[in-house]
Amino acid sequence: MKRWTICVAAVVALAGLAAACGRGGTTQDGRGATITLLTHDSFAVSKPVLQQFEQQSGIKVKVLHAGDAGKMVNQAILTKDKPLGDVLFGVDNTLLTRALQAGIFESYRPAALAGVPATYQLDTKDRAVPIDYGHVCVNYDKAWYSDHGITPPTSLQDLTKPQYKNQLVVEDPSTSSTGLAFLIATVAANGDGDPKVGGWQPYWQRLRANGVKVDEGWDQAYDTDFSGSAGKGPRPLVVSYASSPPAEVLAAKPEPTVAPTGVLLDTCFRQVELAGVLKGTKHPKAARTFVDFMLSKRFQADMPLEMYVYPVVDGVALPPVFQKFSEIPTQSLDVAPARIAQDRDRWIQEWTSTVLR
Amino acid sequence: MTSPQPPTRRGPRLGGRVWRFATVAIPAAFLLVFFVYPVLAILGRGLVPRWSFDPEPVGRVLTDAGLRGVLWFSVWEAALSTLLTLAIGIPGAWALSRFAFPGRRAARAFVTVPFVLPTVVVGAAFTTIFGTDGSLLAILLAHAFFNTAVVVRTVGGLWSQLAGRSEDAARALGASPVRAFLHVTLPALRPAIVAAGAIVFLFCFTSFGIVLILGGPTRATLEVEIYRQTADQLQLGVAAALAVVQLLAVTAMLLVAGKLQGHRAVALALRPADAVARRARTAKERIALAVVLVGVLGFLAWPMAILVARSFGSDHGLTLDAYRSLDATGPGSALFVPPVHAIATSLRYALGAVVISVIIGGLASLAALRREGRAGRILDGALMIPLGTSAVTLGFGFLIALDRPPVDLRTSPWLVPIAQALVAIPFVVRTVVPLGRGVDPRLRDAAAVLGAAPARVWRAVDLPVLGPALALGAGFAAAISLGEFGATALIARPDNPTLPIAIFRLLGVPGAQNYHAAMALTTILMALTLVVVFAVEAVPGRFAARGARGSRG
Amino acid sequence: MGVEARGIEVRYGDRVALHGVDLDAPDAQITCLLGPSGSGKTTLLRVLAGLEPAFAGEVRIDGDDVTKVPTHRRGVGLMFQEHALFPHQDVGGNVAFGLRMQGASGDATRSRVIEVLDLVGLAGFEGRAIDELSGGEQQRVALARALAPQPRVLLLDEPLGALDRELRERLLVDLRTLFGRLGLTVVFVTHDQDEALALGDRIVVLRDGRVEQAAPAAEVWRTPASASVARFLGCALCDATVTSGRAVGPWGGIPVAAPDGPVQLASRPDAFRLVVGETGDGVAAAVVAVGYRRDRRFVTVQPDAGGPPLTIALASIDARPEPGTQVRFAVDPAAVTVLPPG
Repeated sequence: MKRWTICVAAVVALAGLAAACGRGGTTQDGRGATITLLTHDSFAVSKPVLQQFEQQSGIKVKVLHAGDAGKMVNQAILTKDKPLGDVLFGVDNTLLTRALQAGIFESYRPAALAGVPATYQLDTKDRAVPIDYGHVCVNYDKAWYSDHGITPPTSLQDLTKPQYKNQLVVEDPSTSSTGLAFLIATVAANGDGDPKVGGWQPYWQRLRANGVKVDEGWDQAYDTDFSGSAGKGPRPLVVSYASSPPAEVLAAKPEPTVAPTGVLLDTCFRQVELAGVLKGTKHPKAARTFVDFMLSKRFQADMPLEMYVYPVVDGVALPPVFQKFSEIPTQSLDVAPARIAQDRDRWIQEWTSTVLR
Repeated sequence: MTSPQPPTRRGPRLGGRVWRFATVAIPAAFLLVFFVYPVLAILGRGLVPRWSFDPEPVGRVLTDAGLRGVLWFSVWEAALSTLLTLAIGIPGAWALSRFAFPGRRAARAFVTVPFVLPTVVVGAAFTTIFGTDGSLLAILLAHAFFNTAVVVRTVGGLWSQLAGRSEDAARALGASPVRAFLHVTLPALRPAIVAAGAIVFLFCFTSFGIVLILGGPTRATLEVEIYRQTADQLQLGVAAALAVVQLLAVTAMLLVAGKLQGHRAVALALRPADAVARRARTAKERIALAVVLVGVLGFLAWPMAILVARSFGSDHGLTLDAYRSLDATGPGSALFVPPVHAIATSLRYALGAVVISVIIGGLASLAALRREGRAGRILDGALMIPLGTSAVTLGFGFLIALDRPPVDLRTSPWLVPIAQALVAIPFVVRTVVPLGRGVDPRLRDAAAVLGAAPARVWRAVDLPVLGPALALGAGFAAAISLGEFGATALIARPDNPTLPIAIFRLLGVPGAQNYHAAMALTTILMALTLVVVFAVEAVPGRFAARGARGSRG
Repeated sequence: MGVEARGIEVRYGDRVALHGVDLDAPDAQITCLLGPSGSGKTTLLRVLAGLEPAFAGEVRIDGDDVTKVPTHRRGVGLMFQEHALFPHQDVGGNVAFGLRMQGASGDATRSRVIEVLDLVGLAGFEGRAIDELSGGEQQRVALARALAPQPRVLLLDEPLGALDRELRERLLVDLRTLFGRLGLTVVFVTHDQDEALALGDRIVVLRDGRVEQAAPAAEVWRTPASASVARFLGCALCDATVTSGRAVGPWGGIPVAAPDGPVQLASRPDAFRLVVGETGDGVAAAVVAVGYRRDRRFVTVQPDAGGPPLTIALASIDARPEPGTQVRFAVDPAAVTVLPPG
């Protein structure tokens, strides 16, 4: 019978150990701290830039990729009592109000914000700091259209036409901020009235009838299903970014003279990405230092080639490939932030019912 | 020939009142805090959103075309899956219960393997064939793969008892084999077929991991939709309303299934009863047997084989690259932690879940074994209820109920093990109570007469049986915890993913490397689960069987 | 001394299993509790062992009031029909269990185990696993286990019930001899009157939770105290009317010492004589059925004068009346017990 006692004791001891393993973490402040950046899967920074930051500040940075932006923000909200990280980057203007209402950020106003145009400064209480912007637009594969002898579409309405059947791939707005941005663009273009009369819902019904494919996230849509990327998928139209063509130029070897993909400039929605210090961080000082770093010239200039977004800070030079190959839409299909905050969840809900079920 | 009352009336003497009280009170309190309270929280969110009864959220769910579509999809995919499972499982039951052939034991053991696999493993295995684009066929086949064992076990168990009696009698009376089957065997098998079908339908209706992984964005069962509304859209009100609908649907189904004598525990008996089987007699029979065996076993082996093969695959032939990549993490990796950490996390959580479910389930079993205890019987029944509640609903309840005082466990490392234990406890009780009931009460009397005090009686008579039974239950709990996905998906923190969570995450990110890593993790999870299940199946069987023999009731 | 129980009452809810039963099991004697299923005999035994709480009454063992003493301190030995051997312990472990409970030393335990196993004819079986033993061997181990702690009284609950007949007969003789040699006080529960008669010094017949008769074995067999006892023992019964010292009924006229009026007659089946033929002494009857039971031939006859059919044990197995044969029978008046009318 002694054996049993020993077994029980062993189990209890192991359980205690297990519990102990669940805890941990450091509590230092400022220099020497390791901070965690909670961000979406598309976040990237070039190694030398990050290393330089770490050396100069004495802060080590751990990057946590938590899925697409929508999912990442939700996770941050669901874990706000014990945050997953110290800084969050990647909440955009479509999701910002959700994050702000949940109160996941601490207020912080970096000095460098002075160099950011007011149009990007979306939170008057400085809880979220703008870092970059870009345009979500439909991209097309130039080679595919010339091979098939079809003129590429130019507008949202074109996408519902029979000659573009089964060609478009979009992202699910409930999981992807890219998809949400595009949904809002179609709302802006088609109106949000009574669906029986018109508006964005019938538009999406037509898109659905025309064989639109829905993927969970941008990576899957662009890298797997789009024909113009390295994935060489089957579909020549994808919801991506206005900055995607320069990325394709860089990926191609040798560097082409014309971008292999193009942008439908009438389909664009301006997306601003923001960062913030997460409430409950154990390293507030280091977290703020990192937000400062994200607004520094060095980081801002690094972003275009790493994440294919535009710097928000005035006077940061764009790399030549951007200057040469990227097209900036002169006007975008925008919706007022207050409307987005108010109707976003309903749009997603209705979109899901219209398109997916 | 003995007294009119079975001498078991007084039940085991387990010591003082305090101890008796504890065996009821501790599990009851556990259930109250970790099950009743979260479910009430869901009902509150779903039906009483602003402190007044308001069926509006539930009404919206039922009137929204999209959400109604989810309910409808849950029903018809479950119906189709059940039919497919029966179509594969009944021939399998025929082959494995009626005939003796070399390797029969191994074949029977093999058929149960898919059933003990985590749903994530099954889902991942089928992505190797169908991808993740929402192929309906993939979902149906995966459900059939997963549930064939239920049909083979339930129907085959009955079939092996019928074999050679009624059908032979019908043949002797002049019925052709086909007629004998249709008019004698099939009606006799009907209760088992209906029971198995009911269980399979319930499993498929509440299917989560398989549909989430294979269904793409377009297909969702209620379970998947609750998860999406919570994790993707943060629509907790809608999720709560869906959970209420799910609770109602499952309760209704359990009542029907109960009427049809089905019970989830049916599938628990992994060890086949020794059956009377004969060799195939005619050439026709041999051919039919061979076709069915190759078909069914091939169907079950095929996804697992491809899965393992993919885990060793890469751009340059067979390698261990996928396994080597598991301890790496970089700025570009899809997980917060190196994938190997998920193995450690899973094992740690499994240990916690085992400790909790063995303590709570063990105490509850003791209470249930004391037959005079009305409370024990009620507790026994009450502990079964979490089985009927879907795991995602349970996880959702944890999420919205245990995040603020009086119970704030959101950041506790015990949160996930507690949720997993809740799923596992019914299995522990279902394992321990029947074996405990098998203890001959006269052994207790014998020990008492020989001078053993009550506590000593318990140690001498009950513990040798309950110990191995608890070990068996612990094994089930470990297997359940390792594979648990529905509840864990909602409450596990991304920086502490379990194996199923890590696999799901890796499957969701593009890139061959991630995919191979997912396959490698899946293979590891499959191996871990099988090792646990078969280890506990093998060890205590001898004692449990012996102790239970000679019991009379 | 021995075991005395007074006014034992056991209730299960509203149902009364024992109605104030008295029992005397004298020192160094074998007392059989005999009765059909549901008569309360096992319940009474369990009350003696302390396994069953009595609603009322008291139990004394060797003069000590043990009514409130828990089972494990009563110092009784109990043997079950299913033996109830501990399956996870070997033979030695089973036999030693009670000794260990007494806190006996290792050496004392070992030597006592050897001694008791030898006593029951299982010398050298210490290391055997229980499931390797035959039914008879298990039964002996159970006996050894009960005897090892030297109980003040040995209680046996249908200990031979699960065994086949041949083994049972052999063990019956062994038990009788062993108990006699050890001078043990034994209370033995059985539903088999042969077993009770073969083993018991005293027989206590129970029915519906009451004692019907408590007497030395031979007396019970010779003069059953009631019709039900008689029926349970396998006696033949009939109604008759006594007129001036003669009981007249289906069995003819039998001299009895009883006042005039209706009575019931009971007699052992072997107290009848049967003559084949239509004339002669005795009562005319027709053979209804013929059969063997072990070493005896039994004939069931229907008296011509009416009354219930009657089963008679033939003295010789050689007589072979066929069914339908006319016979005459007579009963030995000395073997007839007169009972109140039924």
